Amino acid sequence: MTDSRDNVLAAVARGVRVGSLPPGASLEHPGAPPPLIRPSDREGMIASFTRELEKLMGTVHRVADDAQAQTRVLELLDARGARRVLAWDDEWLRPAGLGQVLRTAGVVTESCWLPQEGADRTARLKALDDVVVGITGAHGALADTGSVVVVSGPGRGRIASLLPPVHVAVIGADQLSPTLAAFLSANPGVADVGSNVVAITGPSRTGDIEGTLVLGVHGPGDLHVIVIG
Amino acid sequence: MTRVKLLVTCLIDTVYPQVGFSTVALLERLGVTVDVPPNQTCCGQPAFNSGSWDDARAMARHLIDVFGDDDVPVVVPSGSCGDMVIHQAPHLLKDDSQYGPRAAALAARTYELTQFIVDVLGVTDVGARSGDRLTYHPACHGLRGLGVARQPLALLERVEGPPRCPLPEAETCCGFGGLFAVKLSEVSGSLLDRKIANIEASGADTLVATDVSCLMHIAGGLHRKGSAVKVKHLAEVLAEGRSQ
Amino acid sequence: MSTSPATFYERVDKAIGNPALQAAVRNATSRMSSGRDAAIAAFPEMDVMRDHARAIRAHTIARLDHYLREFEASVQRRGGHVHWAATSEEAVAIVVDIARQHGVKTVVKGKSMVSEEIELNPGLALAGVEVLETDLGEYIVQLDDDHPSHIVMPIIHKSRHDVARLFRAKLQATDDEVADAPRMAALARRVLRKGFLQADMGISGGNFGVAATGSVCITTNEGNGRMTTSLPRVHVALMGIERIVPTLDDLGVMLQVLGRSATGQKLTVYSNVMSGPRRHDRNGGREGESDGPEHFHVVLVDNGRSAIVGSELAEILYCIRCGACLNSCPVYQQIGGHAYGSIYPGPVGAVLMPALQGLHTWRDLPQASSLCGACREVCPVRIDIPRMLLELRDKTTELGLTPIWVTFGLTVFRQIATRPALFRRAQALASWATRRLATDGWIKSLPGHMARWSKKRDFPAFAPKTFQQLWEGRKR
Ligand code: SF4
Repeated sequence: MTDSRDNVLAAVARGVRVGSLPPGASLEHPGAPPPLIRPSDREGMIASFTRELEKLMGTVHRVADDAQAQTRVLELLDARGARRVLAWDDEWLRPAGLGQVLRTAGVVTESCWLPQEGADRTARLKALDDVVVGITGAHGALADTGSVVVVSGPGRGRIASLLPPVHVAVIGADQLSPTLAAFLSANPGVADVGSNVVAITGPSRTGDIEGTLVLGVHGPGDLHVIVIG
Repeated sequence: MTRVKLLVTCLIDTVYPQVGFSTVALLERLGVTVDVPPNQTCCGQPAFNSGSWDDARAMARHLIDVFGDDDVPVVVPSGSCGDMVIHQAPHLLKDDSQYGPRAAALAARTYELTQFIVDVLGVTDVGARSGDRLTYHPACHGLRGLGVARQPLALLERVEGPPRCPLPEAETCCGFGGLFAVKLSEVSGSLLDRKIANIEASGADTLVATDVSCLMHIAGGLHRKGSAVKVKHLAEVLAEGRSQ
Repeated sequence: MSTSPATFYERVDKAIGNPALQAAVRNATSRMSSGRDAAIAAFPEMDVMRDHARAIRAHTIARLDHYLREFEASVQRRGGHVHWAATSEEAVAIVVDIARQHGVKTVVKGKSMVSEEIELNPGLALAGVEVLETDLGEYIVQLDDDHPSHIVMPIIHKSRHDVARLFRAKLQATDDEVADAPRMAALARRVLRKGFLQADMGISGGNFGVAATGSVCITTNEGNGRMTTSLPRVHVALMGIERIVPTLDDLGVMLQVLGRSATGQKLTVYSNVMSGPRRHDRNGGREGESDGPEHFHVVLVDNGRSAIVGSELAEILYCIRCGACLNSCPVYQQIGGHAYGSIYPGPVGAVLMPALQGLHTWRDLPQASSLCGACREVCPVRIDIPRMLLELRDKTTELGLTPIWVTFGLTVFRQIATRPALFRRAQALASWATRRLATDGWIKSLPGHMARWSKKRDFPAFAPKTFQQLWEGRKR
């Protein structure tokens, strides 16, 4: 439908050229967003992140060091009787060595790799259907909104934060940004990093039936963020 | 001495002349001399809102002729007529080389009544007292069209008498909307029911607003339901002096 | 567009005569409005953010052809495909074609108002492709062969009992499975999850397209948007051509005003930005991305939009479909979405439907407003909807579609109102007539078209003498 492309663009161009600009419209880009003044110190950001995510019924675990983080992950798995997890590849997991620690503890770490071809892909997805916990790192986190920003990539599958009903994200306190705007301006090329960038702000939820809040409709209804440092 | 021209509005002129006289009395008490330019009819709002813009233009031109091209402020005791003169008439006549600039000039010197008293005269205590339990409905065109929100409240607050009764869902439309109340009478009617339920829940015995069109609508609904609640234009409340 | 055969006014009467519906809609809209109000009260920068959001949308629409080209080039650079659909038929044909090309049998679909607009599901069904709606509300709508009645919350017209009944009938649900909302959601989750795991293709809408990066952003709370766009081999995003923003920073601004205005959330749970298909290494090995769709198609749908650019209705293209204007609209609150008979209901629909499809079909919608301005007050991009409703009413008259009793009545009124002497005589006549009709100052039933006024309210008798007459007397 090449004709349509040209016709649509021509029609738009005509409207743009001959029409009058609605009030407030400018040919110049309005520039950078207005600044949001939010705590940008470490403790202030951790406090805000925790408050916001917990309002949304996510859980924040603040731990002092890598060892504590590993323990906390194992506790979360034990509490759910999870012997299999869907996890990012070892090199992307925090704290370093977490994958090995899990396997040593007898936990099976499933890879996020999906075959390209339809039948194999479906078979793989079905095999992962009953995995209870997904474990990921994050590209960043937003203190103002309680979000974790997860970017896909080699060894960093989207499905780890999506398919299992429990999502555990381990981040460093140094990964917090005060706001979404601050994150974007510090990571201008984030769309080049992976085909999927997602800001996850709380557990999956719906209010479709009479506004009753239900968690965990499709995505994980149980979200844990472990903050190291 | 401050001098103003009163735009009385066709509805006050025809149906509620006492509101016009209260407005004059109030302004005179504040030391303002009030002229009423003769031959006033209608600002054209009903035609404008109904999509008969040619008719609305003709009426707007008549209004501009009536109020002339001096710089005497024009005061209008109605938010919706104020919105018509201040925002809509200049828009309607923007391509009219003769009346367009005149409409803009008229708009620039026109004030809704409470806007004039509070923002121009700088008065909030007009020396009024009322024995009624008052509740206030901020009529939509004044509130959102003209952005007149704090002025009527400031004036009401200074009226001596029983405490004001807060109106639940105060800023929800009463359902009037001109011909809307006829074309979509059922929808308008169910909004009116809602407004009346809120008025009765407020515990007030008198509903106050700054637009007689909404007051006419609400009063018609109250009367139909046999309610004892009265309605008053804010000017009528403010005109009742403390000495009386 | 599948309008019910009844007229607009008949549908309104039906809605007004349904107290259960009215209560459901009132509850839902007031819940969402208070959520919005609270979120905005807690966000002191909302006003400057709204101004900025409006400036971004206004600027984008003012240079839409430029940004569309940039968006197309960026998507292609990422290995995605961009398709252009001038009409809804073309859009459906394009999607059917993509499905054929990839041997698709089953489709999972995220919430997309554009797909409703182009009637995609029937088109796919005709082509033998099975479609499963995956947003909980949309799934319920699909199961019930219904239509969404709100652009954000599709089933606010249904009670949980309605849903329970539906699930029992269509899914053979047990009493326990439909005992409450969480259990019903869990049941739907189980059914939909099967669909996700085996679907060949996912179709999503697109809240925003980012020109600089070639990204499509969709926001969902349930996560069905991520499932739809991550699991199947093929992802097709449907977007109106106006959905573009220039940069990722701009997207950030829009997301902040969108979540707050729509549901009172600072951000929607999943703000999901997709830039092209899964990125493979050279030989498709493990050096590439682990998952994601192998094929990424964006369908840009015009279907009447380009004609709005540059018109006096162009502002409606700024809309980010947050639904706040529906929630705040007293008319929508009383009649719900179905009464409008349109894909997009409420204030935004009352402008958008006639703008997209003409006043001949949608002449009644611009009348469905008291012009109270609540929509303009809440709109995150400050669209002046009342102004455009008025423009549309003027157009309606120009096209000769306004009822004759209105136009004729107003023309007569104008003749009178521009002749003061005549006006005075008309006032005297009206005063005499209303006082004759009235008892104790009130008229119980008015004649002619005005009779509809009298259904709910009395009408006052006019004053015996006008203000201007009395004023003349006072001067003397
Ligand atoms: S018109 Fe404004 S308030 Fe209404 S849906 Fe669009 S963006 Fe939201």
